[in-house]
Amino acid sequence: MDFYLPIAELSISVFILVSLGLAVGFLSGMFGVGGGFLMTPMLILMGIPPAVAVASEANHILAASVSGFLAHMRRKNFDFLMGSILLIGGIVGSFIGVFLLKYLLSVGYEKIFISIAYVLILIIVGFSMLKESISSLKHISDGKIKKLHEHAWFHGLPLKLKFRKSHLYISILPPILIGFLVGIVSSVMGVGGGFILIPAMIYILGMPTQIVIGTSLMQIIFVTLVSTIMHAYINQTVDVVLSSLLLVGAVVGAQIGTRVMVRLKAEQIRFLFAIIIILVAAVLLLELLVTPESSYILEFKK
Amino acid sequence: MRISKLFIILFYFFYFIDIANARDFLLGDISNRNISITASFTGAEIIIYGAIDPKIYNHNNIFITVTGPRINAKLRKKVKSLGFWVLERRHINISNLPSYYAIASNTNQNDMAEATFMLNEIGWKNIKMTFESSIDVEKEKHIIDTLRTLYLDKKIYVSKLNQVNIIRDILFRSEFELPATAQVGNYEVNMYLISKEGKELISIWSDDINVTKEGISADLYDYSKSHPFLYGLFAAIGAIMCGFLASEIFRRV
Repeated sequence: MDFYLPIAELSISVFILVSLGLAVGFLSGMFGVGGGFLMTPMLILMGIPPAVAVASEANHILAASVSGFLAHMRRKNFDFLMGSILLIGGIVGSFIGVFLLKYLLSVGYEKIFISIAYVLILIIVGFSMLKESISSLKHISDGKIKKLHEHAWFHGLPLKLKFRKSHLYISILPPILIGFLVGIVSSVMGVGGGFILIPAMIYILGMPTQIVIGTSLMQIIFVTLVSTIMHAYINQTVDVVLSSLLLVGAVVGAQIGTRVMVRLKAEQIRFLFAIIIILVAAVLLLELLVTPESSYILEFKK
Repeated sequence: MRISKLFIILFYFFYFIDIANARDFLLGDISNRNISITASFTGAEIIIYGAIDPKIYNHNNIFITVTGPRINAKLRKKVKSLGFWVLERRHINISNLPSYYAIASNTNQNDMAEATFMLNEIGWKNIKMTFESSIDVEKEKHIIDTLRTLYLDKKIYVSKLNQVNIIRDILFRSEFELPATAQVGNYEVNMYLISKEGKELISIWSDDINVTKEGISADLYDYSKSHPFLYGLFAAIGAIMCGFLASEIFRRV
């Protein structure tokens, strides 16, 4: 059965959209990532205009993250205080990112450098996470328990706060800085930033893996809420028929993802997450390297 | 195909009336003058019927064209830089580009360089579109060819040269698929009878097809344009409510 999408201006099979939504929702509930990395290229491949794909997806991920977040919240798997502090840094960072991108383009920096830098970060983060999780999994099978984080100097900076859920007593400066940097990356790259935020929360701040996922979803809810309204207001590119069909699958997928996640050990989650980051980096790299089918792109202007 | 039979009868009827008046004619009709894009729209078929006086037909060339609403477009090129494929920052602006173009004929005349063809925009190369000023003739030719390939891929260019049969030197018809990506607006339908060597336009017939959005898809589209902020707000609230709903349902499972 096909459905006509009024803003994207084409018709697409309902079955395909619902199953895509389900897959992305699953990842969202399980790892606390938005899933834009998977969805944007898929939708564009189906012929949906890129601007509509990005905007409608923000709306769909909003539904998936609310669904996933509530499931984590019932299990008390999130740190509200830490989430809020990261968010404050993130908001400032994304505003500055917008201007930074404008500046970079105006002085003649191609976006290619930013893309390559992002892929490199993902590869480094992905492989070091993979290495760490494998060695942790080995330690567990040896019967030893390894401490995940050592107390670093920056944990002891001034403005210390007690983060009960995360079992941490650290300065609020590192989380603000991390939120700030992820905010810049998000708005310059046009991505959610979950792939950098989650490893940073685990390895730099030393938060427990299970708590990280719910806290990351909290961020994604805020970001996608703002971007849905902004895209609709400024560009009129949110296709609610498209996002509704996607989110039917997504809200269910997020619930399933959460249930799978709580059955896994923290090390197993980190291992799977590392593999996903490496896959994403590989996909982004392929996009840059593979010769395109058609070297021209035609966009109709309204 | 009862409708087509009806058309055939009608054409014969008019044909004999006109024979009595001894007037030359080229007549046509369209299966569907109003196409509405609804929630279940997956594209439409346009059938164009024609009838011609055998005396003027005389094995000359018939061309049928459908030209979609004119729009502005942006063409961007992917270039290799430092071994990576990136979108070129500069783009080419094209205005007055038909969003759809279909052509059918009883001949396979590829060389349509005659003034008759150029004036009536018959054939892909004769479509009048405007490029930004900084483009030379060679580049322009290349872009027109590129657009043709892109249009073919998107099924918004249909070429049915040599595919129109003139039955008994009088009746003919042609079918065109309008894809689901069709733009709303006015589609011009033209039929031409052109002399074999392509110099003389013997007869012409024109009509329009109107494509509009209707029902819920029209309402949503209009609302997104007229109340963009509220549209975004409702979209966001809807998404949050769906998330809540799923979470509540699953809690009980």
